[in-house]
Amino acid sequence: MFFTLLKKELFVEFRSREVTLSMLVFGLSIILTFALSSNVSPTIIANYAPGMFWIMVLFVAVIGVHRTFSYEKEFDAFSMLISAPIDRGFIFLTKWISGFIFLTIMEGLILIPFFKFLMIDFPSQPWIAIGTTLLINCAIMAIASLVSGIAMRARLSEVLLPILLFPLVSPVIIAATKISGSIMVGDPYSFWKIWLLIILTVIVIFGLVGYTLFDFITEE
Amino acid sequence: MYNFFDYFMAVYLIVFGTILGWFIMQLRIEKRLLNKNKNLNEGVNLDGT
Amino acid sequence: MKPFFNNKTNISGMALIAAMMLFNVWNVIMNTPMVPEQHWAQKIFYVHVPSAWVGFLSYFIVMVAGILFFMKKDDYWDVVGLAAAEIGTVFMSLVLITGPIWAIPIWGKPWIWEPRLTTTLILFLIYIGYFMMRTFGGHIERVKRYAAAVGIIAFVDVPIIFVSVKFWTPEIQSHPQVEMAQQPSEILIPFLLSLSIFTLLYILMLKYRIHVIRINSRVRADV
Repeated sequence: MFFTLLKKELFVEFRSREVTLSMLVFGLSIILTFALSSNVSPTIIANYAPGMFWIMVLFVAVIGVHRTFSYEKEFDAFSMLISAPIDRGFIFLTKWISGFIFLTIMEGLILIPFFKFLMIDFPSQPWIAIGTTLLINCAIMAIASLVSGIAMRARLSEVLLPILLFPLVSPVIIAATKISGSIMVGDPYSFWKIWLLIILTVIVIFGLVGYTLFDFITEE
Repeated sequence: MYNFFDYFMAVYLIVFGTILGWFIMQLRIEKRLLNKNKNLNEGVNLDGT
Repeated sequence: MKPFFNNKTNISGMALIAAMMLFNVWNVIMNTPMVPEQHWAQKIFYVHVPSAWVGFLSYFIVMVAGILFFMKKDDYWDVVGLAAAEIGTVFMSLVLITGPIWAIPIWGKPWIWEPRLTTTLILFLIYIGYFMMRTFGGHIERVKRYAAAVGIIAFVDVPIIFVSVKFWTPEIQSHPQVEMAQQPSEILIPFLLSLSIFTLLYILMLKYRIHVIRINSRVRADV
């Protein structure tokens, strides 16, 4: 049942590629704006780069999650989804996983423009960078999927989603910037161990909370 | 200024003022609601409007 | 439906708590030691920290009310959650206002990214979202559920937020007055007294606000 749902999510996206495309274009425009609006030398940009990257990811994640949830708003498919005899926590899990996949794809595509536009060097330990980025995506998407389950069916959902999401996700952003910053510079593991721990905590806790609460949130 | 008494006064005025103001506001809201309720029960416009 | 202060317990409670608050201020002015270099500004701590404590307690109650609302499906818990959210936000606003006022004489500038103040700010922003959602959320039955969920999520996030902000700028130490257990008893005891009095005040405020909200919903229902 769960895999059917997941397949449905990915299949719908594969058909139209709406979500990943809009995320990619939006991400590119944000990076372009960052590059154009920074008035400072390349060394300073290199210091700010991790922060800029994760800010961009956050905005793009809002777009992405908004799109994936509004699929069901049209044609009121959400009510049909809820009335199906499945564990509604699965809806949360599928949104989480599909959001994570879309975000990762978008990040993969945007990596090269990001480093080239802002003229910074690639990290020295690419595999660790990739691994931690994946985990951070996971954490962001956990919170984002949960919050959009709440915000999407409200009026003013485009405004409500970021307003609720950004403060809630702030520890993840702090941790993400610290991790990426350390990895770019080549700091040893012990430097950013604590931030990794925070990311893992967010994934576990918000995964559990999201899975549990989604049932209650979507009652009619 | 050296003994910072004005900062102390400002803070205490703000805190206690807010708490007092909160109580006063609740009293006024309560009075208004109970009046509305009383009017509803007794029927303010007895001519039917 | 009667006014809150119709019955004797509430009136006497209110009188008692008002007296205790006045005693508290008198106590702080008269009986607490003057800390060198901070003088009167240090005494802000006797009001600032209890406000923060009450704020966090209130948000904790929002979370508990949310959980109980989901478990028991009783609207009473929604009212408790709303009342606690409102009062919590009032006290957190006080923290965010008195914090900078305290900071100017102590640290020289109104804001530094101190862990507890920053956590308060983030929590405050989350609750702005909470109230926006209460207003613009749509159908009231759904809104109650959403509000309960946000209340739970917000407080679950608090320890994570606090830890991440704490390690974010390690060069910023906590408030100068941090280690409570190490404070001399002339400071500690009035502080604990202030803390308890603020907590009692909070309980009174909570009960009053719950009462007023219930009147409001009953009047709305009759209309």
